[in-house]
Amino acid sequence: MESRIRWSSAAAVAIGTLVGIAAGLSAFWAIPPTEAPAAAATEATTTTAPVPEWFHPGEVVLGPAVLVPESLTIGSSEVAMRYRLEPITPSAAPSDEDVDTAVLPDRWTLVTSSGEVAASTEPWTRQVVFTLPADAQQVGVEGMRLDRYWIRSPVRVPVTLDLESTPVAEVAPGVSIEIVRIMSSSAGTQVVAGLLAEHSFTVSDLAVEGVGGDWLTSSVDQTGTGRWTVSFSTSEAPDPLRLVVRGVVWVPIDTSASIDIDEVPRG
Amino acid sequence: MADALGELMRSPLDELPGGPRPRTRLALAAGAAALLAAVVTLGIARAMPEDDASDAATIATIPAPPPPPPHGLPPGYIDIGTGYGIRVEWMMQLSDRLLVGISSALADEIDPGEVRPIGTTILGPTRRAVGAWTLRLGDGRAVAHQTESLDHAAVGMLTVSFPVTGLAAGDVAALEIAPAAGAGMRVEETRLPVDGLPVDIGDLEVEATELIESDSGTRSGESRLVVDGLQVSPSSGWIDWHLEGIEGVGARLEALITLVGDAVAEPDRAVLVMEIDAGNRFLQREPAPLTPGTSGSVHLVRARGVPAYEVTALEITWTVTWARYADEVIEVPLDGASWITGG
Repeated sequence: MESRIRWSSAAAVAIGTLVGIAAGLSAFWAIPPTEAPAAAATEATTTTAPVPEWFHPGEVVLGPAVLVPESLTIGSSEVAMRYRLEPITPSAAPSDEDVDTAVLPDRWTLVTSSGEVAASTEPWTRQVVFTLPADAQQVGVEGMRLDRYWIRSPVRVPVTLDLESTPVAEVAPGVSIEIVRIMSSSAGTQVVAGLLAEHSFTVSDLAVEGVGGDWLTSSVDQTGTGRWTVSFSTSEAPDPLRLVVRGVVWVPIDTSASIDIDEVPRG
Repeated sequence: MADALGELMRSPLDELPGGPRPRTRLALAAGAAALLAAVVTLGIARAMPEDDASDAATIATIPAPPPPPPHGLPPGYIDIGTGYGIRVEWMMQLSDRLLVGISSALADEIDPGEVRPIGTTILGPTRRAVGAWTLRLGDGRAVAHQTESLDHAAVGMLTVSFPVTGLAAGDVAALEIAPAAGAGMRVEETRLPVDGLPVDIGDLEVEATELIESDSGTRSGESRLVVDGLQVSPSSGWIDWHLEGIEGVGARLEALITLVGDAVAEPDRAVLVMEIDAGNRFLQREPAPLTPGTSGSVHLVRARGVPAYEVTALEITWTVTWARYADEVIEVPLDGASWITGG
């Protein structure tokens, strides 16, 4: 990863400076401290402009990032691999936060001489730990693969809900929206809509909005229920109810990406 | 070479017993470095054919750098001529549209500072289309894309939606893109005297000429946006438009209409805004980019003010965002994309 560097458009300046420095150093050694002239001819040193490399063989591409294995520790009761994630995508303002949250490795399989061992990683961790069977005396580690990861994706999905029928609709992978409650008065109408997902983190960056001139505001329940209150100026809820779900959703990607464990440094 | 350098570095201090002192040697070497750096930088940066002989000689002493390695993209990514490659990650059929999730990766050797970021909704040049997308189905249908979704919280990712229903895994034969090659924005303003509301104008001479910013500069071109019809009531409005000119150009129109009544001392004003931009009132995110097209309709709703007065004029602000697409159409591989089924 050391060579995954970034360079500016002033490549000519860089090249010139490097050559100049090299020539300067050559001159430093070419000019003897005594009166004797230099005895050996010195040619200008060859310099190679650095070029960024965004992907190296052995790394695992996970959408806009690569997973870089850092260390593999094989113990008697568990096998652990640490890794990091690096961005490989055009970005306006790359930051560590962007990198860390671009993808989330999830499910893994360790292939051993006595069978396969499954493991999962919690979101935001950078290590997978496989617990070996208790009766494993001398397990040979033969391979490792990533079976599932999560990837962030932007969505903006308009949805129309018929209040007379079942007011539920799919809006993104693994995410549905349902109408929980409607409260109407002469002062206006409040519609409580819930975002349903198996994992709450997948909808934490989604918002629910109304559509049309009668829509006033949206606010989210801060207790993590995924429920939004959408306010309208009308004394009754619009029927059909038009909403927009937009933001970022985590999408599960099933894969079978092999990790070349022979290339992973031992921890 | 050493003799030449030695001559170049000659100093009166050389005549001192014991020759130049180390610090002097260092200074001389640094001076040589700076001089050579300046000469080489100018020679490379300018690359002028009329370089004189001395420049040519200077450059000739520098060994040519090794040829750069070929551009490389990670497996599965296809170059779309923008300095980065794209790969389809997932597809999902909703009740009324197909979503296609796409990731991006820089090609080796590419300076990210020279590539337009993906995944930002920051207003300005970065808020433009990635491309014009076409979904080709196994039954022969071709479906143009509906929207491109970007978000600064999902850098490098793009979700494209297509207005198609009932697809299953295997129904999609191919995905094509004509990459966006330039973009620009133009704002025009119009004041229309009216005899009250509602108004229904079918032949409105409002045109906004294409203005495209690309790597080669900014120019106004051969396409223009023509307003076909304008309907305005006290609480809403409707604008139909289309493009005239050459192919390969799209636009999106944002409009704002101020209803002006001058029957009172201070003119009363009410504002109609785009329905889609009602999201401005919820400040969590900016409005999502809309897809440029060759025709469209803009629905406006009342944002503030009640035109209880007699409206005598319409002040219309037309904001046209232009996108020019490349002539070349690139097929994006679908191998490896996950087809996600609903729960």
